[in-house]
Amino acid sequence: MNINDYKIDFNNAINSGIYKDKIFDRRKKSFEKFLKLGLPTKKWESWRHTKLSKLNNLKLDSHNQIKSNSIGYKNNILPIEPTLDLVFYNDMFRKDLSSDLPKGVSISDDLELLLEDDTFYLDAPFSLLNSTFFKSGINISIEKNLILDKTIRIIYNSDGNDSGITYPRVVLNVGESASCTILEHHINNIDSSFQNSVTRISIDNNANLEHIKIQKNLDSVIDISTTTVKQKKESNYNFFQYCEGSELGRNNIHIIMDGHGSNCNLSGISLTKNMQQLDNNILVEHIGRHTNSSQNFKSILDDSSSGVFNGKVVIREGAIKTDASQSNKNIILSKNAGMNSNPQMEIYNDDVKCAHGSSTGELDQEALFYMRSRGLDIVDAKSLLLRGFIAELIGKIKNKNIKNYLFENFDIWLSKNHNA
Amino acid sequence: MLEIKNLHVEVENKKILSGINLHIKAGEMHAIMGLNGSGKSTLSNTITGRENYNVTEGDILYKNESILDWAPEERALAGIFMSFQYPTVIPGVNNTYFLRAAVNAKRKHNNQKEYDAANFLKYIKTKLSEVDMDTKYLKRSVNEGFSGGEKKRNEMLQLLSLEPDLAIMDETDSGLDIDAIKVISNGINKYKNKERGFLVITHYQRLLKYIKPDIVHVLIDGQIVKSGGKDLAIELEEKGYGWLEK
Repeated sequence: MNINDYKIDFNNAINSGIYKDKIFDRRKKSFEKFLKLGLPTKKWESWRHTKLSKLNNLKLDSHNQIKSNSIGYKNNILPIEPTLDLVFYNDMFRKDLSSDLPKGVSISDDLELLLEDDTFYLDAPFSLLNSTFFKSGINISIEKNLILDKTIRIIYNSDGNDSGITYPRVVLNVGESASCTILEHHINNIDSSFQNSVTRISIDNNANLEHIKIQKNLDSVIDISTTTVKQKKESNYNFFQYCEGSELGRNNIHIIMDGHGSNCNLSGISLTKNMQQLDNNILVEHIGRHTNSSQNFKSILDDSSSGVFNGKVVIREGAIKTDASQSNKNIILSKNAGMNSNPQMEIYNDDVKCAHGSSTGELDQEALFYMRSRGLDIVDAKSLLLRGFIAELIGKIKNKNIKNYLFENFDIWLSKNHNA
Repeated sequence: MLEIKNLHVEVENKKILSGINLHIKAGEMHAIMGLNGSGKSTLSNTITGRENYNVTEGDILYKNESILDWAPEERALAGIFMSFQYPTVIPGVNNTYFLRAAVNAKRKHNNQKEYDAANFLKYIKTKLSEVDMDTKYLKRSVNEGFSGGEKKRNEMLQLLSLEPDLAIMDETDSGLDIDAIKVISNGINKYKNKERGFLVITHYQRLLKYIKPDIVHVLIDGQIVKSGGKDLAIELEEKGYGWLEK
């Protein structure tokens, strides 16, 4: 998809009358901004190591290609219970496939509400394309003081033979002193399709959000997702992602810690094989004082796969007493796999505590020998070591069902691997 | 049980062992003493099958079979165990999980029923008390955050759980306080019987106050220069190694 392809897409949409909706003017503005900015090239710092050719070679239509029906949708392939499900199926939010929500949780699919606060964020071109082309979305509000025990799961599912681009969009507002868990489950199953999703989250004073993302798209899917989180004072945000699908997967995560005393912990595991590439581009902005953030990302890379970690922490002038840490650890299982790790910190005041580190290497040979000397064969020893590597993060997940589901998934991934 | 014949070993093209001969019979405890760099650890690592320890000449027979081509796990399953001088820390791998995997690998090899989690816990608790360890060590990652003494107790716990026929104790006493040495020695003494062989590698004589080797060998520059009874250890303590050097 080059700029011209998107232009054709946009004009086709106008001509066919799809954009008679009330947000057309804003779509147009977003698209104009996108045209000014252009698509990323290798010269863009955060795109230097991303395999852009995979994106550029894609020829897809944003409209009407994916027929929205529910025939292919199978909830039973996602065995995490019990959850409150909100379902995107073939690029449309499907209320009929979604759960009834308890008191205090309200949703709306009003397009205008979804565009609220559509400011210029990290990875703007793709956000702007989403603002231009999105068809459907959900705005979720968690009422203040609500403590929600059940997990809200947002399912991103597509199925069928009609390859296309999907633009799901989610807005989540967690009210003051509320607490909840959101699980994003991406299982797009259309060969060579492209999902360009946007998620905007705001966490009000003293509220708490646990956010888990599982990305298990089909291996030929391209997935670019942009998540923006605004944190007000004393709020907590814990994010964990588990990614093993997609041919090219790119997570753009931007955290804005406006409120003093807010806390965020970001962590993730990426598992890649064959020619896959999974990228994480993270920007944490400390604006309020006494704000704490941590990043802990790990990858296991096999075959000719690759990964990118661009993690950046910016500590603004007023963000005194900030405590920020970054860690990126990667295990390479094959000599053809590669990782680009780039943790960065930009600090504009002196009263801060910061730490960052990155390591990429093979499995620990000492540990392997130790295990083998106790009678474990090399395959079991490697599995145990790799499981230990990811267990540090998966083990922290509070929800037992999700934790067990991810461990099972990991074991399956491992068992199908060439060099593990 | 273990017969080492004219063993020559190179590590990274450097000759470390030059013609070791050693015969440990079932029920015997041998001690190898020597200074740092004499080749003690090379010997134990070669017996256990560590990579990059190249045997250029000679043979190692275990229960009358040459084991030079055996993988480390094959040697372990056949009953060879080494207590590491520096036990490896394995972050994220739960100690119980690891121990159970190891014990079950052995049980499977011996055509015994593998332990489930509950049965294994019962089994391991009986072993824990023998090395004066708390159940809290089971919940941690393998050797992570363990003190020097705790690591060596954990090695002893593995030995008692895996029940090897040949136990190699590589510098087990280094970095231990006297209480820990007593615990480890008690473990060794209890475990020793007429079917099992021990090879104790040590720098100092102090461990030999608590355990009684049948034969003491002195290793200098990759060769055994003298063998004798436990009096040899006492002599070494008094005179040092100088009088044995060429």
